[in-house]
Amino acid sequence: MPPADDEATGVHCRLDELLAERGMSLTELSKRVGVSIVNLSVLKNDRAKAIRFSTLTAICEVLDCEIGELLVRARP
Amino acid sequence: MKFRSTVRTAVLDRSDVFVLWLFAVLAALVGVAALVTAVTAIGGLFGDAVPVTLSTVMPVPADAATGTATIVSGSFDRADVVVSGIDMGARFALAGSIAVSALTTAIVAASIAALCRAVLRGRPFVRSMTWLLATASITLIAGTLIAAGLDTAAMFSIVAALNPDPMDAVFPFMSEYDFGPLLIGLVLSVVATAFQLGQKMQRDTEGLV
Repeated sequence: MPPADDEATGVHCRLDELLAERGMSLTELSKRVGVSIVNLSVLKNDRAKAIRFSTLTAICEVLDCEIGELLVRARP
Repeated sequence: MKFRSTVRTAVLDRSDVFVLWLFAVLAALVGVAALVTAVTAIGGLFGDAVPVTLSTVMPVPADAATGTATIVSGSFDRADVVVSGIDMGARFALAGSIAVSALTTAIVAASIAALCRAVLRGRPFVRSMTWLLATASITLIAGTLIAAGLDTAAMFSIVAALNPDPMDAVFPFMSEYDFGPLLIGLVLSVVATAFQLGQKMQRDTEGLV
Protein backbone atom coordinates (compact mmCIF):
# COMPACT_ATOMS: atom_id res chain seq x y z
CA MET A 1 0.00 0.00 0.00
CA PRO A 2 1.47 3.44 -0.90
CA PRO A 3 2.10 5.81 2.02
CA ALA A 4 -0.41 8.60 2.66
CA ASP A 5 0.55 12.11 1.60
CA ASP A 6 1.69 13.23 5.03
CA GLU A 7 3.43 9.96 5.98
CA ALA A 8 7.21 9.51 5.95
CA THR A 9 8.43 7.76 2.82
CA GLY A 10 10.86 5.50 4.68
CA VAL A 11 13.69 6.61 2.39
CA HIS A 12 16.64 8.66 3.63
CA CYS A 13 18.62 10.78 1.19
CA ARG A 14 22.32 11.00 2.05
CA LEU A 15 22.88 14.11 -0.03
CA ASP A 16 24.16 16.08 2.95
CA GLU A 17 26.84 13.47 3.79
CA LEU A 18 27.91 13.00 0.17
CA LEU A 19 28.22 16.76 -0.35
CA ALA A 20 30.27 17.11 2.86
CA GLU A 21 32.60 14.25 1.82
CA ARG A 22 33.26 15.98 -1.51
CA GLY A 23 33.39 19.50 -0.10
CA MET A 24 30.69 20.60 -2.46
CA SER A 25 27.91 23.08 -1.72
CA LEU A 26 24.24 22.66 -2.58
CA THR A 27 24.45 25.73 -4.82
CA GLU A 28 27.28 24.20 -6.86
CA LEU A 29 25.44 20.90 -7.15
CA SER A 30 22.35 22.76 -8.26
CA LYS A 31 24.31 24.50 -11.02
CA ARG A 32 26.00 21.32 -12.21
CA VAL A 33 22.91 19.11 -12.07
CA GLY A 34 20.41 21.67 -13.36
CA VAL A 35 17.94 21.11 -10.53
CA SER A 36 16.75 24.06 -8.43
CA ILE A 37 18.17 24.57 -4.94
CA VAL A 38 14.61 24.39 -3.59
CA ASN A 39 14.14 20.90 -5.05
CA LEU A 40 17.59 19.74 -3.90
CA SER A 41 16.79 21.06 -0.45
CA VAL A 42 13.52 19.10 -0.46
CA LEU A 43 15.52 16.00 -1.39
CA LYS A 44 18.26 16.67 1.18
CA ASN A 45 15.76 17.10 4.02
CA ASP A 46 13.87 13.88 3.17
CA ARG A 47 10.75 15.77 2.19
CA ALA A 48 10.68 14.46 -1.39
CA LYS A 49 7.99 11.89 -2.13
CA ALA A 50 9.31 10.88 -5.55
CA ILE A 51 12.39 11.41 -7.68
CA ARG A 52 12.80 11.34 -11.45
CA PHE A 53 15.35 8.86 -12.82
CA SER A 54 16.92 11.79 -14.71
CA THR A 55 17.42 13.75 -11.45
CA LEU A 56 18.76 10.67 -9.70
CA THR A 57 21.32 9.81 -12.39
CA ALA A 58 22.38 13.44 -12.80
CA ILE A 59 23.10 13.81 -9.09
CA CYS A 60 24.96 10.47 -8.97
CA GLU A 61 27.07 11.43 -12.01
CA VAL A 62 28.09 14.75 -10.46
CA LEU A 63 28.77 13.20 -7.05
CA ASP A 64 30.38 10.14 -8.65
CA CYS A 65 28.41 7.71 -6.54
CA GLU A 66 25.97 4.83 -6.88
CA ILE A 67 22.24 5.29 -6.44
CA GLY A 68 22.40 3.07 -3.36
CA GLU A 69 24.87 5.47 -1.77
CA LEU A 70 22.51 8.39 -2.27
CA LEU A 71 19.27 6.75 -1.20
CA VAL A 72 19.03 4.33 1.70
CA ARG A 73 16.17 2.98 3.79
CA ALA A 74 15.44 5.21 6.76
CA ARG A 75 15.98 3.59 10.13
CA PRO A 76 12.86 3.76 12.33
CA MET B 1 4.76 21.16 3.29
CA LYS B 2 3.42 23.21 0.39
CA PHE B 3 5.18 22.82 -2.93
CA ARG B 4 5.10 25.81 -5.21
CA SER B 5 3.67 25.04 -8.62
CA THR B 6 5.78 25.91 -11.60
CA VAL B 7 2.90 25.48 -14.06
CA ARG B 8 2.45 29.20 -14.66
CA THR B 9 6.07 29.96 -15.31
CA ALA B 10 6.68 26.74 -17.23
CA VAL B 11 3.56 26.63 -19.41
CA LEU B 12 1.88 30.03 -19.61
CA ASP B 13 3.45 32.68 -21.77
CA ARG B 14 2.46 36.33 -21.87
CA SER B 15 -0.28 35.82 -24.48
CA ASP B 16 -1.85 33.02 -22.41
CA VAL B 17 -1.91 35.28 -19.37
CA PHE B 18 -3.52 38.05 -21.44
CA VAL B 19 -6.17 35.70 -22.85
CA LEU B 20 -6.97 34.31 -19.40
CA TRP B 21 -7.36 37.79 -17.96
CA LEU B 22 -9.54 38.74 -20.94
CA PHE B 23 -11.76 35.68 -20.42
CA ALA B 24 -12.05 36.37 -16.70
CA VAL B 25 -13.05 40.00 -17.27
CA LEU B 26 -15.49 39.09 -20.08
CA ALA B 27 -17.07 36.37 -17.93
CA ALA B 28 -17.48 38.82 -15.05
CA LEU B 29 -19.05 41.40 -17.40
CA VAL B 30 -21.44 38.82 -18.88
CA GLY B 31 -22.49 37.76 -15.37
CA VAL B 32 -23.14 41.34 -14.26
CA ALA B 33 -24.92 42.18 -17.54
CA ALA B 34 -27.19 39.12 -17.18
CA LEU B 35 -28.22 40.17 -13.68
CA VAL B 36 -28.79 43.82 -14.60
CA THR B 37 -30.80 42.86 -17.71
CA ALA B 38 -32.88 40.42 -15.66
CA VAL B 39 -33.69 43.04 -13.02
CA THR B 40 -34.80 45.46 -15.76
CA ALA B 41 -36.86 42.78 -17.53
CA ILE B 42 -38.53 41.61 -14.33
CA GLY B 43 -39.35 45.22 -13.46
CA GLY B 44 -41.20 45.53 -16.79
CA LEU B 45 -43.37 42.48 -16.08
CA PHE B 46 -45.46 44.07 -13.38
CA GLY B 47 -46.86 47.03 -15.32
CA ASP B 48 -50.16 47.03 -17.24
CA ALA B 49 -48.57 46.16 -20.61
CA VAL B 50 -46.14 43.25 -20.66
CA PRO B 51 -43.82 42.56 -23.62
CA VAL B 52 -43.69 38.83 -24.46
CA THR B 53 -42.49 36.67 -27.32
CA LEU B 54 -45.11 34.11 -28.34
CA SER B 55 -44.77 31.14 -30.66
CA THR B 56 -46.95 31.19 -33.74
CA VAL B 57 -47.30 29.59 -37.16
CA MET B 58 -48.38 32.33 -39.54
CA PRO B 59 -47.84 32.15 -43.29
CA VAL B 60 -45.71 34.81 -44.89
CA PRO B 61 -47.91 36.69 -47.41
CA ALA B 62 -46.90 36.08 -51.02
CA ASP B 63 -47.02 39.81 -51.78
CA ALA B 64 -44.23 40.37 -49.22
CA ALA B 65 -41.83 40.07 -52.15
CA THR B 66 -41.91 42.85 -54.74
CA GLY B 67 -38.62 42.18 -56.51
CA THR B 68 -37.69 39.75 -59.22
CA ALA B 69 -37.65 36.81 -56.80
CA THR B 70 -40.89 35.37 -55.46
CA ILE B 71 -41.77 33.70 -52.17
CA VAL B 72 -42.76 30.07 -52.72
CA SER B 73 -43.75 29.44 -49.12
CA GLY B 74 -42.84 30.64 -45.65
CA SER B 75 -44.04 31.18 -42.14
CA PHE B 76 -43.37 33.27 -39.06
CA ASP B 77 -42.64 31.23 -35.95
CA ARG B 78 -42.40 33.95 -33.30
CA ALA B 79 -44.09 37.23 -32.57
CA ASP B 80 -43.05 39.99 -30.20
CA VAL B 81 -46.26 41.32 -28.68
CA VAL B 82 -47.18 43.62 -25.84
CA VAL B 83 -50.05 42.18 -23.83
CA SER B 84 -52.18 43.65 -21.06
CA GLY B 85 -54.48 41.89 -18.64
CA ILE B 86 -52.09 39.08 -17.77
CA ASP B 87 -52.76 37.40 -14.42
CA MET B 88 -50.18 37.50 -11.63
CA GLY B 89 -49.41 33.78 -11.90
CA ALA B 90 -48.11 34.20 -15.45
CA ARG B 91 -46.15 37.30 -14.46
CA PHE B 92 -44.48 35.48 -11.56
CA ALA B 93 -43.72 32.49 -13.77
CA LEU B 94 -42.10 34.76 -16.37
CA ALA B 95 -40.20 36.62 -13.65
CA GLY B 96 -39.05 33.28 -12.20
CA SER B 97 -37.88 32.07 -15.59
CA ILE B 98 -35.90 35.27 -16.21
CA ALA B 99 -34.44 35.24 -12.68
CA VAL B 100 -33.39 31.57 -12.82
CA SER B 101 -31.89 32.04 -16.27
CA ALA B 102 -29.92 35.12 -15.17
CA LEU B 103 -28.72 33.49 -11.95
CA THR B 104 -27.59 30.45 -13.92
CA THR B 105 -25.64 32.67 -16.31
CA ALA B 106 -24.11 34.60 -13.39
CA ILE B 107 -23.03 31.42 -11.58
CA VAL B 108 -21.47 29.94 -14.72
CA ALA B 109 -19.76 33.27 -15.49
CA ALA B 110 -18.37 33.40 -11.94
CA SER B 111 -17.12 29.83 -12.32
CA ILE B 112 -15.32 30.72 -15.56
CA ALA B 113 -13.73 33.77 -13.93
CA ALA B 114 -12.63 31.67 -10.93
CA LEU B 115 -11.24 29.00 -13.23
CA CYS B 116 -9.22 31.60 -15.16
CA ARG B 117 -7.86 32.92 -11.84
CA ALA B 118 -6.89 29.41 -10.74
CA VAL B 119 -5.08 28.77 -14.04
CA LEU B 120 -3.30 32.13 -13.72
CA ARG B 121 -2.14 31.12 -10.25
CA GLY B 122 -0.79 27.89 -11.72
CA ARG B 123 -3.02 25.61 -9.66
CA PRO B 124 -6.19 24.74 -11.56
CA PHE B 125 -6.48 21.16 -10.31
CA VAL B 126 -7.58 21.84 -6.77
CA ARG B 127 -10.62 20.50 -4.95
CA SER B 128 -12.38 23.88 -4.95
CA MET B 129 -12.18 24.06 -8.75
CA THR B 130 -13.61 20.55 -9.15
CA TRP B 131 -16.49 21.44 -6.86
CA LEU B 132 -17.03 24.76 -8.61
CA LEU B 133 -17.22 23.12 -12.04
CA ALA B 134 -19.56 20.42 -10.75
CA THR B 135 -21.78 23.08 -9.19
CA ALA B 136 -21.75 25.13 -12.41
CA SER B 137 -22.68 22.02 -14.39
CA ILE B 138 -25.58 21.08 -12.10
CA THR B 139 -26.73 24.71 -11.97
CA LEU B 140 -26.66 24.97 -15.75
CA ILE B 141 -28.64 21.76 -16.27
CA ALA B 142 -31.17 22.42 -13.49
CA GLY B 143 -31.40 26.15 -14.26
CA THR B 144 -32.11 25.54 -17.95
CA LEU B 145 -34.84 22.99 -17.18
CA ILE B 146 -36.47 25.11 -14.46
CA ALA B 147 -36.34 28.30 -16.56
CA ALA B 148 -37.80 26.41 -19.56
CA GLY B 149 -40.58 24.97 -17.39
CA LEU B 150 -41.51 28.36 -15.92
CA ASP B 151 -41.35 30.04 -19.34
CA THR B 152 -43.60 27.38 -20.88
CA ALA B 153 -46.10 27.67 -18.02
CA ALA B 154 -46.17 31.46 -18.44
CA MET B 155 -46.58 31.25 -22.23
CA PHE B 156 -49.42 28.72 -21.98
CA SER B 157 -51.16 30.89 -19.41
CA ILE B 158 -50.83 33.99 -21.60
CA VAL B 159 -51.98 32.13 -24.72
CA ALA B 160 -55.01 30.78 -22.81
CA ALA B 161 -55.82 34.29 -21.63
CA LEU B 162 -55.54 35.68 -25.16
CA ASN B 163 -57.78 33.09 -26.80
CA PRO B 164 -60.32 30.75 -25.16
CA ASP B 165 -59.62 28.22 -27.92
CA PRO B 166 -55.93 28.65 -28.75
CA MET B 167 -55.82 25.64 -31.08
CA ASP B 168 -57.56 27.65 -33.79
CA ALA B 169 -55.93 30.96 -32.91
CA VAL B 170 -52.86 32.85 -34.07
CA PHE B 171 -50.99 31.79 -30.94
CA PRO B 172 -51.43 28.04 -30.28
CA PHE B 173 -50.19 26.24 -27.16
CA MET B 174 -46.56 26.25 -28.17
CA SER B 175 -43.38 27.24 -26.46
CA GLU B 176 -39.82 27.39 -27.68
CA TYR B 177 -36.79 27.38 -25.45
CA ASP B 178 -33.09 27.16 -26.20
CA PHE B 179 -31.74 23.96 -24.67
CA GLY B 180 -28.16 24.68 -25.81
CA PRO B 181 -27.06 25.52 -22.24
CA LEU B 182 -28.22 22.03 -21.20
CA LEU B 183 -25.62 20.53 -23.52
CA ILE B 184 -22.96 22.90 -22.14
CA GLY B 185 -23.95 21.77 -18.64
CA LEU B 186 -23.35 18.15 -19.62
CA VAL B 187 -19.96 19.08 -21.11
CA LEU B 188 -19.09 20.93 -17.89
CA SER B 189 -19.89 17.83 -15.85
CA VAL B 190 -17.39 15.86 -17.97
CA VAL B 191 -14.83 18.66 -17.48
CA ALA B 192 -15.45 18.51 -13.71
CA THR B 193 -14.71 14.78 -13.79
CA ALA B 194 -11.52 15.47 -15.77
CA PHE B 195 -10.53 18.01 -13.12
CA GLN B 196 -11.06 15.37 -10.45
CA LEU B 197 -8.54 13.18 -12.27
CA GLY B 198 -6.20 16.15 -12.75
CA GLN B 199 -6.42 16.88 -9.04
CA LYS B 200 -5.21 13.34 -8.28
CA MET B 201 -2.42 13.58 -10.85
CA GLN B 202 -1.29 16.94 -9.49
CA ARG B 203 -1.24 15.50 -5.97
CA ASP B 204 0.95 12.66 -7.26
CA THR B 205 3.52 15.15 -8.58
CA GLU B 206 3.78 17.09 -5.32
CA GLY B 207 7.09 16.28 -3.70
CA LEU B 208 8.54 15.11 -7.02
CA VAL B 209 12.08 16.34 -7.62
